[in-house]
Amino acid sequence: MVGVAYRGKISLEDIKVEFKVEPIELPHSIGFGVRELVTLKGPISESERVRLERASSFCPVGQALTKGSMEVDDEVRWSSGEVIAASPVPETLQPLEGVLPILPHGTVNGSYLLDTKEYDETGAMVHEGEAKVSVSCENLTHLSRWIFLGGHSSDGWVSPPFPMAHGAWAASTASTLSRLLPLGAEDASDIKVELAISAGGGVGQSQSNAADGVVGHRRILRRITVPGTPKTTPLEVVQAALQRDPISLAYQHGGILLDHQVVVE
Amino acid sequence: MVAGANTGITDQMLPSIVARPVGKDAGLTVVGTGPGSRGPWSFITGIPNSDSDMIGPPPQYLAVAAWAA
Repeated sequence: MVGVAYRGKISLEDIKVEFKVEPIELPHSIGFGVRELVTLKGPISESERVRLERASSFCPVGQALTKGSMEVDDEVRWSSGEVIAASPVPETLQPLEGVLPILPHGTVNGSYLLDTKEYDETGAMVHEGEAKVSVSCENLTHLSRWIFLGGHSSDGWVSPPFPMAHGAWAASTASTLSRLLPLGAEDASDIKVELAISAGGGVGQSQSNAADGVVGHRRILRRITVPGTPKTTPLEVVQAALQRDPISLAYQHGGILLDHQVVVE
Repeated sequence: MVAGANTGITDQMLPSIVARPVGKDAGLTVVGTGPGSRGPWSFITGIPNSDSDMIGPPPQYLAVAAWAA
């Protein structure tokens, strides 16, 4: 949003975002949803606020999670060496039965680190800078908190947001498979999820899409390695398990946004 | 679909993100593993369970954190 504001000459002085994360316990649903509140600071008109509101849900990560903008090519490999292209999934395939853990309630708060913006010698902004993100959620014995940094900077100290989201998707895939696959004597630690992302149009294209409210579909390759053989861990079972994975569902169908507000303070 | 050793569509791909389970209730994800790419950045995620506290947020929270960033 900082990049969109800069390109649109909107006097955005600061920005923070709060997500409330809640479980949704419906059969074969994504399993969670978020309520988003974006607070903008600065002399921002109503039309500029509307433009930034659109940008917040059409940024690459927002698109992936709320509009299902990802096109996924899957491949399954077994530790025995066999390889099968696993896309597309048969339309008649039913999601695999089995229990996935309920997501605890929590919050995610992002604060913009104003002094991490970078400018070139002409004074033009070349990197939007970084954000500090505080994650808080219920844990078994107490409320737990974690801090993440993400954003765009020339030194690359922190992960850009989109790769971080893909990392979460890979983690989600590995977690879901480890919970649902009937592995018997096989070791779930042998599961591996690898992603290769096709080149997009870069930050400029992403900012144009966000500003214009355009869904930019992205292609991604996901290689999943599972223990055993195609006989002990059949392809259909792996595909059916993937039909239950929360972020895989969001990436392909969207739908995690329960509420969305952008206000000027 | 054809099965065979080393005949995958992704043989030519250079994965830039890798995730694996760690034990029963956690996972390790590394972003930016490819040659020449920035990173790597490592993330620990947890799976809600009734035996122990998670050592990292569930992956869904990491995804929302990326959105917040």
